[in-house]
This record gives sequence, structure tokens and C-alpha cells, in this order.
Amino acid sequence: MFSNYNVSAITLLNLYLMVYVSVLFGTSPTFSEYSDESCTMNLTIQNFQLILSWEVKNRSIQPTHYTLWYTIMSKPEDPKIVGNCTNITKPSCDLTDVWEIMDDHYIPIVELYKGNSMVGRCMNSFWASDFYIEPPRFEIVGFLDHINVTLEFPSVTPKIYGKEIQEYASLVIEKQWDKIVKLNDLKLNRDFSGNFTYILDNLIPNTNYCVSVYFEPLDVEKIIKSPIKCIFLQPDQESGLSISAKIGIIITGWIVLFFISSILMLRRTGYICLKNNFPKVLNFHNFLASMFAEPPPSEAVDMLEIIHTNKKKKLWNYSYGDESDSEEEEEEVPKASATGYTTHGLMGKHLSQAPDPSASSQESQCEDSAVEESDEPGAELEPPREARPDPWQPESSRSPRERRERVLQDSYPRHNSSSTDEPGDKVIFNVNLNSVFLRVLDDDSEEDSQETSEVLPLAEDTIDLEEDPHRIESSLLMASGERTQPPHHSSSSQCLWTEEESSDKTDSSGSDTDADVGDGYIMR
Amino acid sequence: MTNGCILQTLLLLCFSTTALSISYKALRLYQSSGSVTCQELLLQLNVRPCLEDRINFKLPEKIKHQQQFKKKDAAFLIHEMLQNIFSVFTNDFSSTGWNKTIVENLFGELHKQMDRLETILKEKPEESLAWRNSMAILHLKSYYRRLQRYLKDKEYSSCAWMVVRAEIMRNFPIISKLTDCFQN
Repeated sequence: MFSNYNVSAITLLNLYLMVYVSVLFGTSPTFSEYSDESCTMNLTIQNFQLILSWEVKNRSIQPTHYTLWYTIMSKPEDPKIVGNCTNITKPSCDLTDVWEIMDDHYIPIVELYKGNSMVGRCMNSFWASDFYIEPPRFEIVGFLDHINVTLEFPSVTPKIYGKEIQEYASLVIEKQWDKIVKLNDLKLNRDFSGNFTYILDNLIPNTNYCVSVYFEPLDVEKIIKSPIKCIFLQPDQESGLSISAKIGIIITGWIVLFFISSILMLRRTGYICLKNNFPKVLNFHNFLASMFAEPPPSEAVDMLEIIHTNKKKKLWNYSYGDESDSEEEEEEVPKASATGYTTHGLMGKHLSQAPDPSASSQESQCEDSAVEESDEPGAELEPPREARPDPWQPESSRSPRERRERVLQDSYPRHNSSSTDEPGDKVIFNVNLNSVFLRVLDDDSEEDSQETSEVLPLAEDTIDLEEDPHRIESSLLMASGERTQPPHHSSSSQCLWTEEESSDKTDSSGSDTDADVGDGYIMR
Repeated sequence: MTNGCILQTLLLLCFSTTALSISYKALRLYQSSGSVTCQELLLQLNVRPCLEDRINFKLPEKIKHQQQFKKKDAAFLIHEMLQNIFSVFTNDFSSTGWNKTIVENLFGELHKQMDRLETILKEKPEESLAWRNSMAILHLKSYYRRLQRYLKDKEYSSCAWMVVRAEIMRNFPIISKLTDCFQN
């Protein structure tokens, strides 16, 4: 009986010890009891999640629940249980935020339960290179000679997608079948977070290209390639943005062209007159023409030899009521007339270069006209426009210049006849007869005084012949050749020089005029 | 004459610097490729995992901070690590059941990498001598002596080889990071 109690006590003691030891070491599974051959494990990164999946080889063991533990090889640490993979029914577990260190061996331990009892364990070791890494999603856009490959990564990726993953797996963009680009080699110095675009350039247009993307781990047998995407590079294939930009540029060019052509058309038709405000010196329109243009016609210059004579002449001294003073001898001092012109007593001598053969004829004509006048005393009163042989008729063959020459020549002989008696001082200067007034003073003092104030400018085109024929006769009109024809004078008036000379001679005693020398003066 | 010598010296330095930079660039490519090959070979040496004989060999933390090393320094460290790895695997691994061809391939790859590094290290032997006595090298040597001693203590068991294999594989990511120093 005592021996029975002893055996019972010893059995209970052993049982208690076993229970105590089991309780003491129960938290740490004894991994050596079960081999890892009972199941196969796969560690995959899919959809940016680190997923551990397993499969039991022994089909006789059909577990209903699983519990996952893990540890590392570098440190003798006890296995740790994965909280979200405890007593799970499906044979997989998300370890994205659990395994973060890549450069170590991870030892996952899967406990197999059937009901409440454990029927087995699976254990394996995973190095970083043992991961199956699924490729990211990507899109391709084809251009003329290049393809844009956009890899789609989430903005926030697990730590396992940090830079360290590039140490164990290269992201490869493969252009089948000749070009492989390993993005790790590009040293992007970035983790795979956010979208990333890579350009496959130097492609041939009008060619079909296929692209694939995948991670290449150290164990090349664990590569998972993405589905191939192909695109045909057409010659005129461009991105939507560039097509619209080209269209916009073309349209803009057409609009500008239309605008410019419209302006040019309006300018030609005269609707737009664009003034050129350039200074004259910058106006080169007639530059060439001006270089070879004919020199401007020289001014008609007549050479006159002015011979001053000391003669008493009566000048109007602006004293209307004192005729005796006007008869006094006065020095030949030019005085300003009432009209404001400066008067000079001159004897004109025409010094034309070539003797004008017509001058003598004109002179003779003048003389003839004078003779005719003497024969026909009433001829003076006749309007000068009556048809008479008149050297001053506006013949087309005779220019005003010639008429001036003639007049001066008519006066010259008489003048010479008198001037030779008294030579006086000589002054030679060039006079543009177009710019001066020539007037011959009459022998009548009163008339002279009136006549001095009545100067018929050379610029006048017409004269009033009705006013005073006598005045007209005593006046000499010099018309410019460029202007209208001189009015029709009677020959007597045209030969005024000769008459005045003769009248001057008769009035030499009291006349203050230089009628004998043609007391005319150049006025301006 | 003096100016000519100075000019020639300067030209030689420039060309040597250029040659060295080119050789470091090529060395980086070869080294990166070699590290990947070695890791692939080690993965082929598959062993049943065991957790009983795990030990912390205390890999030197200094070599983990690669940014402090120059090109020449990194080359010294890589050469030292490769040389010790080669030495570890020359021990008895018969209990593991590993394919000897794979181990010989591993030896060949390690040898090639060391030869490339020695072409650069031979240029300035005085610097090699100085580096041999540096603290980083001494810590590395201690680390690999612990590995050798562990194998010996565990009588080159398969579990011990599994632990050592896992530890050696942790060396290659560090070597890859040291290789990146060649582009500095």
C-alpha cells in the first residue's frame, strides 16, 4: 500500500514538474519539434504590401487556424508574434509595417492549429533577395521618336520601399527586346513614392515598341514581369498638347499674315496714308535721281555795268508842298522813297556776253516805232493792245529776257552818247533782273514825284492800261520770262528810253531827272 | 629646366588623377556586379534554418557609416572584408552538404574582386601599411576572428554554418554601400 502511494506521488510530482516546465517554457515554441517541410512559404510585395503566404504540403494536416511568429538570425532574440496574424483562417499575413529592415534574415514561424490544438509548425528564412516584388502599374505615351513611361507609386509607400530596396532589387524598364534600363543605375537617389516618369528616347518613328516594367531581385528566378504594353510611333504622332500648340501657331501665323496683307492693300489703294516724317536729309527716295539730276538752271543773270555820274538830280525828299526844294540840286544820294524802296540813280549798260543780233533789230524797230509815233501822234493814246507791229508783242519766239535786253539796249546807245561825256565811277555787279524793279523817271517833276511812288513791280502780270497812258508810257514794265507776257505796250512806250532821253535833254536845265541817261533806278 | 620638370609632374598628376578616377568608376561597376554574384552564390548554399546556435557577432558599427570614407579608405575596407570572407569559407563545410562547385565559384568571384582592388592599393603602399594598423581594420579583423572561432567551437556543424552564412550575407550590403564611395 505504501508503495502504491509512492508511485502515485512520484507520478504526480513528475506531472507537476512537466506542467511547471511546460508553463515556464510554454511561451517559446520549441521549433525543433517540427520541421519546416510541412509547408512552403512565399514572401511577396504586391500592391505595395509585404505579404507572407504559406501552403501546407501535408494534406493530411488540414489546419483551420494559423498563428504567425518571427525572429531574426543576427541576434539570439526570441520569436515575436505578429499581432494581426494570430489565429487567422487564411494562410497569409501582411508584414508591411512589421519587417522594415532589409539587410537581415527573417525567420517566420507558422503554427498550424486544428481547433484548439496545434497540429504542426512551418519555419523558413527569408533574405531581402528572396522577396517577390510585383511591378508597379505604368502608363506609356508615344511621341514621334520617344516614349514616356510613367510609373505609378502611391504617395506614401511602406518603409520597405525605401532606398534600401534598391540594394536588393533593380527597377527595370524593358523596351523589348533590345534595351533594358535599370533605374537603380541612374542613381535617382529617391525612394519609390509618387509617380515617376522615364523617357525612352532615340526611337525610330513608324515603329511598334513594347514596354515592360519589373523588379529584378538578386535571385533572378523571382522576377515578376508586368504585362507588356505596346505602342506604334506614327510619323505625325504627337501629344495632345503639342498638336494644339502647333495648330495655334499656324492659326496665329495666318492671322498675322492676313493682317499685314490687309494693311498693305489699304495702303496701296490709298485708304491709309502713312506719312513719312523723316527729315529731308533722310529721304532717300530720290537719292539716286538727285545724284544724277541736272543742275538747277542758273539764274538769269545779267551783267550790268553801273557807272555813277555826278549829276544833279532832283530827288523827292518827301516834301509834297515844296517844289522849289525839289528843284534844288541835290546830291546823288539815294534816299528812301515813300514806298520804302531805296533808289539809286543808275545808268545801265547791258553787258551780255553775246551780242544779240536781234537787239539791233529790236533797236531799229524801236526807233522805227518812235518814228512812227512821231508820224502818228495819236498813236500814243492808242491802247497798247491794238494790233501794231510792236516788238513787244508777245511773240512766242521772243522771251522776256530778250525783251529786257532790248530795252536796255535801247537805252544804252543814248546813254552812251551822254555817258561818254561824263564817265564817272564804274561799278560792275550782277543783277538778277527778275528780282529787281526797273523804272525810268519822267522829265516832269510832278510826274516824277508821282512816278517814283508808282513803281510797277516786275512781278505784276498785268497792268492797267486804262489808268494813265502817259504814266504807262513813262514806265517801263519788265516782266519775267516765267510769268505772263508783258502787257502790250505801244511802241512808243516800249521805246520809252529813247523818248525820255530826248525829253531829258530838253529838260536838262531844270530837270532833275536823268532822263537823258534814262534816269531809272533799280528798285527792289 | 625646372619649369619643365614641374610641368611634367603636374601633367603626370593630372593624368594619374584622371586615370584613377576612370579606374574607380570601372572598379565601382565591377565591384557592384561582383557583390551581386556573391550574394546569389551564397543563396544557393541553402541550409535548414536553426535558431539554437544564433549569436551576435557584433559587426563593427563604424563601417556602416560609409559617408566618412574616402575612395581609398573604402577600397581598403572592401579588400579586407573580401579577404576574410574568403578565409572563412576555406574551413570545413562538409556537414552542410553544400555543392563544392558553388563554393569554388564563390572563391573565384572573391578573388577577382580582390585583384581589381589591389591594382589601386599597390600605388601607395605606405598608405596600405597605415591602413593595416587603423582601428577600423582592427575591428574588422576581430569580427572575422569571432566568426572563425564560432565555427570551430560548434565543430563546423550545419547549424553553425547556417548562422555564419547568414552573417556573411549581411556583409555584402555593406560592401555595396562602400562601393558607392568610389563615385565621390
